[in-house]
Amino acid sequence: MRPRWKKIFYDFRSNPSRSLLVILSIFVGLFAVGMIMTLWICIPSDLRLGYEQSNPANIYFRLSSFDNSLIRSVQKWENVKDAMGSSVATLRAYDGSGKLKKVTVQAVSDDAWPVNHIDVLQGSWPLKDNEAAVENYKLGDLDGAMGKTLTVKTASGKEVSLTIAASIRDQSLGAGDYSIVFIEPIQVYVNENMLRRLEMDTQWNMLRIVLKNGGFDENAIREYANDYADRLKKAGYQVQSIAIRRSDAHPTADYADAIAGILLVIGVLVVFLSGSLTYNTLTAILSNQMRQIGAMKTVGATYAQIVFMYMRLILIYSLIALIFAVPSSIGAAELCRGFLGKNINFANIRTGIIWEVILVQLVLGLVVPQIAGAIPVSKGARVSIQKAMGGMRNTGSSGNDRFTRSMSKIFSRPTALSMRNTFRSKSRLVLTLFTLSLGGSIFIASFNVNTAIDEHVAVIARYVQADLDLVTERPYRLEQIQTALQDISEIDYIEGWGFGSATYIDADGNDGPSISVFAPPDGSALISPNVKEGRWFEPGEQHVICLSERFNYTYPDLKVGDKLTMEVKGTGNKTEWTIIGFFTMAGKSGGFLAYMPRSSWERISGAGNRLTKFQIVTHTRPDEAQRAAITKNVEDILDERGIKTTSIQRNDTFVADAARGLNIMSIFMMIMAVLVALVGCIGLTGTMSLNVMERTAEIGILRAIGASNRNVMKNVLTEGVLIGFMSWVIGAVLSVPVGKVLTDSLGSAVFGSRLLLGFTPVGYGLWLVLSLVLSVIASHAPARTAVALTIREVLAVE
Amino acid sequence: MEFSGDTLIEIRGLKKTYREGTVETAALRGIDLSVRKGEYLGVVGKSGAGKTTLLNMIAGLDNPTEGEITVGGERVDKMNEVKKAVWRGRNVGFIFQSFQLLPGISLLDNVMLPMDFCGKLNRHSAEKAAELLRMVGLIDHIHKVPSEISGGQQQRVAIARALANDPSLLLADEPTGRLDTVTSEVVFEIFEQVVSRGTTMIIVSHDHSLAERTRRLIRLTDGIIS
Repeated sequence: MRPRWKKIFYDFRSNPSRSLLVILSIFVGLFAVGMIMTLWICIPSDLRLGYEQSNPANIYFRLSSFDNSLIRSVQKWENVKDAMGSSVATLRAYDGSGKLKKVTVQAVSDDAWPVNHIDVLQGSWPLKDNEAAVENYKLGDLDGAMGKTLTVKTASGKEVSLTIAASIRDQSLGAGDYSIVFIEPIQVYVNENMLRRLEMDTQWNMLRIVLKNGGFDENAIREYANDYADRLKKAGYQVQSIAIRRSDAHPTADYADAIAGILLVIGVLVVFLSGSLTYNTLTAILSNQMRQIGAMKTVGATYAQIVFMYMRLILIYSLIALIFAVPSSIGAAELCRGFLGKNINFANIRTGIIWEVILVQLVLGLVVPQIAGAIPVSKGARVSIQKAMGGMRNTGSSGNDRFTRSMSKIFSRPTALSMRNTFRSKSRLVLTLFTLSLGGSIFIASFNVNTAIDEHVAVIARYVQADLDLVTERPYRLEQIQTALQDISEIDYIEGWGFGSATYIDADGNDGPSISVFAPPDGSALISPNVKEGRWFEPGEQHVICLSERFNYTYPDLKVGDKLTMEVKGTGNKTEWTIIGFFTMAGKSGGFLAYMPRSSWERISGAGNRLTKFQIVTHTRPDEAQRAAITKNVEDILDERGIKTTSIQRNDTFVADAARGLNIMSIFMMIMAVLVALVGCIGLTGTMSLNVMERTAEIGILRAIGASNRNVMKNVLTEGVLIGFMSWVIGAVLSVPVGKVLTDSLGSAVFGSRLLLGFTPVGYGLWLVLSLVLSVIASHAPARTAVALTIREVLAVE
Repeated sequence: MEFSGDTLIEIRGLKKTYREGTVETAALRGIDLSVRKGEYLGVVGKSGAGKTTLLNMIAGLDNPTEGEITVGGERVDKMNEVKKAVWRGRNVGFIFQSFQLLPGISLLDNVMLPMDFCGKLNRHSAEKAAELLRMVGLIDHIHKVPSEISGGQQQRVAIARALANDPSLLLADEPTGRLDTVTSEVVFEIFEQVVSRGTTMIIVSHDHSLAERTRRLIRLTDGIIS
């Protein structure tokens, strides 16, 4: 091997901690880019491809009962690729602790599930009699496991025991009713023979249709849906609701888009972080090589030869970083995909190595460090031999002396010296502060975004402020329910709400999506809406309606002041309403929701003052066990009185479910925050090590003139803490715009509007502690090494 | 490159002024000097007299503020940095007071390094480097790294390295400044051996007695030859 390459290998080997620092600087960037890019590519494609592959229905009709003959007919209709019937009912089932939970039970016309294919994750399929499959997403909510018994309570109150025989993934959850997986009930699947035992409709009540063409065009789907609805009505079927969905529109695609947006922002920032970290470290290494560069130039080394030598050293660092970054980023991305797949209900379709990611890692790994190193290497190689042999050491300009003098008036001389050291290499200080501040700003912003998410969850909770939400099978007068439950001492009061489904009628008179209508009484204290446009209704107002953000997203032409026509299910009457406001709740994929005054509902529902939704408020905020006991008590009493319930749901559970999607974002933000913190830590450690390394001689002089080891340590630690503190201040300021970019990206993907910027002192406090502790740790090790050297050894460096 | 004529180095009106902020320091204030081929020249003077500056100018390690330096017929002051590096590597050997060997690589590799940079590395290079190390009495240490040998030995390696590309001119800046008397004697013996082969040599030293061992001695005082 040529002597110059031996020198390069020696440089690599001679200081393992320094080499490790450069490798880590490159590694974190490559690791983050690899992981982020894999997720960025895979999540949307997993969702899109996985959903497409499940042969998703484009049209969902909720119909009066029908049999297989209709399915056979529909299959022959124009542009119908596939059709499938299913019987769907909302029942309740006992979880592992004996609590009743709402479940959606369904059986389909064909066990092969030709439409909305399901993936059997565990267990056997097709199901035998007395067997059930549970959708994987909320299997945990049932405390269910393979082979365990699932007891379902039928509409009449009969209990039917089923054995859990399979766990499946159904990516269509929420697609049939414009909902999302998070707020869907637990899904239970049975075979056709079980319908009678479960007292469900033995015929089908849900028709799913897959289009041959136009499945990716919402307008085309809507036209076909209207056409098919007319045909069904003409054939004598009652169309209760229609939902349409593109073949590539996974119900949780908005969440995937939000994650992809966040990933993109953080990915770009991390590349900058890693690049500046590498630049900083290499600059310091090069400044320590000046004498050697001078010696090499003296014996005939040209600028190009020196540049090429150090570029090769950087290449070695890059290759090692790549060797570790590629597999570890693949592993981390797989873990994240698995986590996200489970939590936003999609299948990891794309398998094997994603070559484009590795290619990008290779290019970035080989090019970015070379670019980052080009400036310090070029500067180092260009420096005159005179300067190089002087070691390029900044001996302290008059400006610095003035700085030290002025600081000495405020602080002790050693502290002033530490402060001078901090500002001595201004370009490095700027880069270090840039790296640390950017890392800190992302870290702090992640906490603030989480707060914004938490605040939005609190917004969801403002719509359901009662403790229990009771929905009865048929309408009752409020007094009947109040009388029935009057013996439950914990209940403070009960409010009756209008509640039902209506069909949106579009401008052309066609049936649109099904709307869930809520009608609180005037002056209800149990709702505090978050109106994003227009206003909420006033007591006594009539024919006014407030709509959820989903309307804005699907029908962007709808404005405050426009008229909206809808037909309340079962009434056959079309009524017109004035839109007075739009509100934000669970996001733009959270279903078509409408709120109107209860008095208006009573006029159109056909049931007068009899209602199906009752909000139960207890005296005090009950704890977990008390809530469960009250729920059980309410259930038992209503059973005794023969009042059949569709669901008794604890509102805290509803809020928790609705917040699940957002909580995944929180977890995801935290993962990113940790990643960024890691980059920041490496940056700080590197800077401090290099600063101390450069000051070895100075430390020797300090000790020679009487400074104790303790003085030296204090001097170095003060410098580290000062850098840490400055980075925190800048990071705290920068966290505002960074947080805004992240919050806007999340808000526009999930809610179609901006989220309010959150603020929490946690991120600021944590980063302050982290940066100060790290400053101390990062400065301590090299300072100890420096004081461990004898004065003679230290001064020999010069 | 072959030098032409009898004069190897021709210096005319050489001045060097260093500036730091608003303060100007004149290191050389007008030097005129001719050095013949094969000459063994000593430059003495007090600290700050401009000895090292003069040596650096001749080797092209620093640029003059004013004046001309011609070495072997080439105007060193007119060369760009790349040209100077190539020229220096092939024609000039330089010995520092503080040796400036590269740590971590063997003595043999240190000596071979100039050959490597100047494109003279071939299958005989190791042999030649070993021969040079034999000449300076270190043949038994060729695989050691600089930190494993004494200061005197390191300076001998630096001499071997300076001779690696068979330079016509050998420059030494305070070569014995960090060595004891006995070791300094050894170093000077090597220099005499080198000069006897026809190499031109200039030694800068503040030690008058050692510099007197050269064949011609000039004294610098406050940047001029006195």
